[in-house]
Amino acid sequence: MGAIRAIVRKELRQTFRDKRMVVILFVAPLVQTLIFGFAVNLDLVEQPLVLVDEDGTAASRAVVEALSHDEALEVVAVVKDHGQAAAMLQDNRAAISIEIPRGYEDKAEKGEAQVLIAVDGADSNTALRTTQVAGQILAARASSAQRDKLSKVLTSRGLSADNAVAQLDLSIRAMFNPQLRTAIFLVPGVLGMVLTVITMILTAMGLSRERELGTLEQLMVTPLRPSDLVLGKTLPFSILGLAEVGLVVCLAVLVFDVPVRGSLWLLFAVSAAFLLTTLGMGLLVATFSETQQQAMLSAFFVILPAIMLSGFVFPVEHMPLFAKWIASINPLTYYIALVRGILVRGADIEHMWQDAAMLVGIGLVVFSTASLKFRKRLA
Amino acid sequence: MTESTVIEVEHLSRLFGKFRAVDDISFSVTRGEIFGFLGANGAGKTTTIRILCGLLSPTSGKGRVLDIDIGKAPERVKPLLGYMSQKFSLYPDLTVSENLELYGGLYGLSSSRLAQRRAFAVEMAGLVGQEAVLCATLPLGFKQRLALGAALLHEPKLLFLDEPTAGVAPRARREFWTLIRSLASSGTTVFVTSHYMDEVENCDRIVLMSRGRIAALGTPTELKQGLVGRIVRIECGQEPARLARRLRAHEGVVDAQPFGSAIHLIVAPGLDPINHARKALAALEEQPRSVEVCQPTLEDVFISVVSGVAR
Repeated sequence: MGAIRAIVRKELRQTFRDKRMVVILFVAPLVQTLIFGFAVNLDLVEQPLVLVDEDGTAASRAVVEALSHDEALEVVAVVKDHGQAAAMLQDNRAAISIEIPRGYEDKAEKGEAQVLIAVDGADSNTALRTTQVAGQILAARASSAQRDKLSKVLTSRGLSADNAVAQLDLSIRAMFNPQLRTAIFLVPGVLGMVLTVITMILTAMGLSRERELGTLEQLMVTPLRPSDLVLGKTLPFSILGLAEVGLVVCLAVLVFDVPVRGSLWLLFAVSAAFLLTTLGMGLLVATFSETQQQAMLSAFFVILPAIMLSGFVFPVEHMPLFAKWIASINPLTYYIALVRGILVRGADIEHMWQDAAMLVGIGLVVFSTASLKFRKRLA
Repeated sequence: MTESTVIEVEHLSRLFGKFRAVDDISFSVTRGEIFGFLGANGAGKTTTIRILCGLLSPTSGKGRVLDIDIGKAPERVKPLLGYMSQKFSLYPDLTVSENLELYGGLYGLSSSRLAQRRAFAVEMAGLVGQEAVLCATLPLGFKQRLALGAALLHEPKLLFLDEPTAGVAPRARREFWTLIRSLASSGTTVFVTSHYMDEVENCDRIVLMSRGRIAALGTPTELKQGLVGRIVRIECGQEPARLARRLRAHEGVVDAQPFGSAIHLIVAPGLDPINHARKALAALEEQPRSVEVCQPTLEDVFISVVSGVAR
C-alpha cells in the first residue's frame, strides 16, 4: 500500500509541476468542447441553389416559389439554360442545381413530371442532405398540384372536394432534442474523445518516458511489485480523467444548455469503466514502445480510427460491414451511446445494460491483457 | 556458503534464444568486499547484475544472494539490495527531497526513519540546504552522489553499481571512490562494473568477462602477476596503430596494442623481452625512440586476456 501511495504521489507531483501538462489536462478539454460545440455545426443552412426554368409556366414558377421559401436553400440565380447552371456548380457558386424541363406543366397534370437535380458531391454528407431537402419540397409541391387537379375534376362533377381529398399532414417532432441541435449530439462525444486522448496518451507517454530515463529499471529493483506499479501509474490518471468528465459536463450545461436528465453517478460509473479501456490501451502502447515518440505515434494510430468509428460524428448504422465490426469492439462506441443516453434521454441502467455490459467487458479484457503484457515486458 | 559469503554463483547461464549472454560462470563474493566486474559491452556484465538483482531468472545454474536463492525467490532479495546505474535514476522534475521520499516510500521506510536517512543522503551528496532544488538542475557529480544516497536509504547489505562513474569528471570520480571504500570498510559489500581501468584498481577482486564467460578472476596484483616483466613499451612517435599491427605478425609476439603514442608489446613467456622486441623491430626496419620493460596495467591484462580468449 505504501509503495502505491509513493508512486501516486510522485505521479501527481510530476503532472502538476509541468505547466504544459496542466494546460493539456484542463485547458485542452475546455477548448475542444467549445470548438466542437460552437464551430462544428451539422445543421444545414442556405445551400446556394441555381434554378433552370425551361418551362416558364405557372406550374414551374410555383415550384421555384416553393424552393425559395426554404431555410436550407438559398436561390442564388434563376437561369434559362443547363449550361449556365453547370458552370455555376463547376466554379462553386452553387452547391445544387434544379432543372425544370420544357413541358413540365403538361406532364405534371398527368402525374409524369420530371425534375433534374444536380448536386456538388465533393462533400457527400452535405450533398445527400441537400438533395433530401430539395426532394421533399418538390414532392410536396407535386402532390399539392395533383390534389388541386383532382379537386377541380371532382368539383366539375358536382362533388364536394373537401371530404374526398384526405390530406395527410405529417407532424414530426424530434424527441429529447426538439431543435435537433448539433451541440447536444456532439458534446457527449467530446467527452469520450477527451478522455481517450488524455488518459491513453498520458499513460503511454509517462511509462515510455520512464523507460527512456532509466527510472523504470530503478523502480523494478525496488521491492515494488509490477501490479503495484501498474496501479500507481494508472490511479492518478483515472482520478484526473473523472475530474475532466465533471469539467466538460459543467461546460456543456452552462454554455451549450446540454441537459443532464439521467443520473450523474451513473455517468461517472460508466466513465470509470471506459477509463479501464483507455488506460489499458495506454499500457499496451507503452509495452510495445521503446521511446516517447513511438508511444505518441502508436497512440494516435489507435485513437484516430477509434474516434472515427465510434458514432461520434458518423452514425455506426450507416457504416459498411467491416467498419461496423470495428465499431462493435470499439469501447468509445458504447461509451458515447451511454453518455448520450444518460445526459440527453435520461436513460437508466436497465435500458442500457447491454451497452454497459459490453463496455465493462471490453474494459476488463483490455486492462487485464495490458497489465499482463506490461508485467511480462518488465520481467 | 560460509557466513561471510554474500554472493555465490555456480555454473550460472542465461540464454536469449540461442545467444549465451552469460555462459556457465561461477564465483563468490564475501562481505565487505569491493568486487569489480569488467568486460566490453555485450560481455554479459549487465545480464549478470540483472540476474543477481532478481530482474531476470537464470536459464540454468544456481545463484544465492544474501542466502536467498534468486532462481526461486527473486522478490525476496530486492528489499536487501541497493542499486545504482549509470543513468543515475533520479526524476529530473522532482526535487532532491521528493526523490528521496519516493525511494524511501518504495522501500517501506517509516516516516521517522525516512527523515533520518534523508538527512544522511542529503549530507553525503553535499546538498544540504538544496533539498528543494529540482534534480534536473544539479551538476552530474551531485546527481551521481544523490543517486548513491537514494540507493543507500534503506541501508542495504549489498550494493550494485552499474557503471557508476560514466561521464563524471575525474575529481568527482575520485571522491566517489573514497565514499565507496568507506562504505565497504563499514561492512557493505559492493559489486561494481566499470569501463575505467584506473579506478578498477580500487577493487579488492576483479572478474574479467568476455563473451559471457569469466576470462580471469583475482586481485589486481594477481591478475597483473602473469605479465610482470613481459611488457615492453616502445616509444615510436608516429602511426603506432600500424606498427602494432605489423608487430603482431611477428613470431614470439603475443600481442601489441597502441597506447597513445607508444606501443605495449607482450612477448611469449620464456623469451627475453627487450631483445625480442629489438629483433622484431629490426626485422621491420623500424627505429623507435626508446624500448623498455614496463609495469603491466590492468588494461594490459584486460587486452591480453580478451585477445587470448578470442584466439
